[in-house]
Amino acid sequence: MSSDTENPIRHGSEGGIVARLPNLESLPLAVAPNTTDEKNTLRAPLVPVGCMCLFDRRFAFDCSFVQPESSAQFSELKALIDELSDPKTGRRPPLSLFGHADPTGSDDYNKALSGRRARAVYAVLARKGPIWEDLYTAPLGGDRWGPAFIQTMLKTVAAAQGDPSIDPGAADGVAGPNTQAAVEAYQRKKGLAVDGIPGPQTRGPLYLDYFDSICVGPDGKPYTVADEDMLGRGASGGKGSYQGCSDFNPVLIFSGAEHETFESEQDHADRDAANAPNRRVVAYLFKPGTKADPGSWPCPVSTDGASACRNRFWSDWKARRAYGVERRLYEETPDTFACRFYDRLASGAPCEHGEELAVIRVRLFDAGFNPMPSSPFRLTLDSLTVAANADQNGWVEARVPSTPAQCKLEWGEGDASGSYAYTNTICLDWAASPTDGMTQEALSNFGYGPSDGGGDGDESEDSGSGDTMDPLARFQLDFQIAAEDDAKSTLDAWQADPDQVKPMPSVPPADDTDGSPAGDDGSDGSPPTDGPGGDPAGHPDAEQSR
Amino acid sequence: MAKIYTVAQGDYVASIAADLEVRNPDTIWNDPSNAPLKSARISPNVLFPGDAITIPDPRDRKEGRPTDSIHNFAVLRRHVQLRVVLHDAGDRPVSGAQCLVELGARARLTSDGGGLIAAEIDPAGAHVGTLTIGNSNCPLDGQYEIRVGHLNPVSKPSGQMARLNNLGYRAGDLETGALMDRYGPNDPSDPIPPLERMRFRSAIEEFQCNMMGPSAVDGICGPQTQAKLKQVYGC
Repeated sequence: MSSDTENPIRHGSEGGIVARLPNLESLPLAVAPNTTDEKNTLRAPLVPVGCMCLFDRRFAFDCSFVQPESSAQFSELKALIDELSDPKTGRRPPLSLFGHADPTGSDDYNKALSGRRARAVYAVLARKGPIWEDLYTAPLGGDRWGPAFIQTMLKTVAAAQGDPSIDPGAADGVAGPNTQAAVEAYQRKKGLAVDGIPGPQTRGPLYLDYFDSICVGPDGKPYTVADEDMLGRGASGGKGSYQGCSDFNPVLIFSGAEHETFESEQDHADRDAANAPNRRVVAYLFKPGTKADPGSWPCPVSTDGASACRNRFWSDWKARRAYGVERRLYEETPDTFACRFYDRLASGAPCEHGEELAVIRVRLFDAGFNPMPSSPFRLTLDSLTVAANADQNGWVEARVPSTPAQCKLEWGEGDASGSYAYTNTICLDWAASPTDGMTQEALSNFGYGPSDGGGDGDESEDSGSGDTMDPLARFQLDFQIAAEDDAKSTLDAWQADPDQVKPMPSVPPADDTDGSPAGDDGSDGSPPTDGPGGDPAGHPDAEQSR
Repeated sequence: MAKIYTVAQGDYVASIAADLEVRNPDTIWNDPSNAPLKSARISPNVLFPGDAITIPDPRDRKEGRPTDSIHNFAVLRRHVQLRVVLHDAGDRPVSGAQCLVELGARARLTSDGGGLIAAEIDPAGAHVGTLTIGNSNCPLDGQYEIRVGHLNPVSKPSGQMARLNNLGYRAGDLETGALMDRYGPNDPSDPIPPLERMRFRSAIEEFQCNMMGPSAVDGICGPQTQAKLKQVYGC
């Protein structure tokens, strides 16, 4: 059916896919000759020619806010639009956006949530500030927009416009003095009333500046996709232009056993991370000249319920949505979509592919081996930074693309400048260590790093005798153990239940005034938890860069 | 002695008549021995490969004319048309499209207010040619291979598939359709990939949903769906 001679182009920026679809050759038309007023009817098909997928992490966690990193995909999208435009008429390929949720929660809730993400992307492309204001002021479930997004927008606009005065610093969600100053600077710049509060009058222009900062073509110039270049051509409610597909079209369906395991867990973080590929927004670009007729377009608008979607379900939709013996991937067994209409659009498209995420769980301790409930932290991985607070037991949980070998973690209240008390490079890939358990990496995660690193936060205390000893010796000294085997079992026990096993420092360092062990911050770097069946580090990225 | 002719893909009664030098196709179609075929196929233009059709013996015809003058005898050949209606994706007729039909001869045509183009075609001429559509202001623009006489009866999977393809439902290629005529889905030697069967079924379901309502969707092209398909397609 599809031409093998022209491979679809797949752009490899991480966080999404932008691709051409394989050229569908026109099928020969079998027609009847006519000797009466009978006729043959040729009807224009709906032919997608290109697609874009924005992965889950291009949106804020559980939220419809479009992250600044999406600019990579928006740039590639502009290139694709130009490539697929009709060279003779200059007509552009109209596009339609489809939001997808994961199969947890009710269909209607997922429909609304997936519709919000599709709406949010539409608003970026078509520069519809009021849609973002609506998303901001009308939260739905976990999709709550807050101060962190104001900070992110200001920071992004500051970078794009080269104006550091409106940069609020870290997007930590805390509206502190830096944020207020940045908002005031922005208000002055825009000729607004200066009160430092990002109210609706300020947010309106900020959305548009933000759109212009992230929706930029390869030439560095902002571009828009106007309503006439949307498939629905500005029909009310975005009919034909953007819609939410609820959880009806997952690219991954767990096996029954996986599903049961995930559901039996109290914490659904693993399930939600494994489900990340399903949470995505896909845009289809159609042959130039294609129009959706709002009257016959099958998808309900994004704010309507899911019932009209069911009219378009495959007759065997129940089997398609069921958890089977094996995990099913759309790419391998294209039978995971319940919506027939969407399934037909997607047929042969290289964009129906998500990105599996891994969960990193780390527990934060202070230098005295006490857990640090609600401690602020900042986790940095290559290009990704997560800044938030630990939970009430001091646990940090972050979803990250693939399983990294290590990350930089900063935590604990620092001084007034907003810095953190502790810094450590956390090894996450224990499985790759030559020996199990008692390794340099494990000790380093505990704060017993090589003597020149590790306890950045309290280096003054590091000047004691421990500083010249190797990490294992310092650990053994602190825990009053001699043999390496004992050290390993202590370490293992402490990792299993740090509330029960307390270190017993043998000799408190002379210069230690607060009673904490010398020169060490404690942290428990648990090995990262892959999604079920997840690949080791790097594979998803390798996949995208093909 | 009357001959029995076995229909091949692409034959229609007028083309068979032209090939076998039968002046009037109606003498074939209306021959009493073809009555069962006529009632099964209904249209002389939509036959199925393998159909057996009786070709009656030629009859002598006597014309009396005086000698010593020139007489012209013209053979009246029934003309055949190719009538195609163009619709956009919203089922509205596309008028003003510039079309070129090339079946041996070339015909330039512009679709009328009802989206119709009607080209005169020669039953003795080529069956396979091209249809080029331009200026349709919708994604119909392009060049298509056109196979006249290859539309099979709507009761056959190949005929259903061809009509669905032409109606924009992309149900599968014609070769797959021919295989589906021969192999049922439960045939152990079914050579058709499951994906192709799924594509065909999805086209049927989409057609049912659009034209007969969601409650009619069952993925099976039964008698009611066949009748609807024939009505919507036009033959």
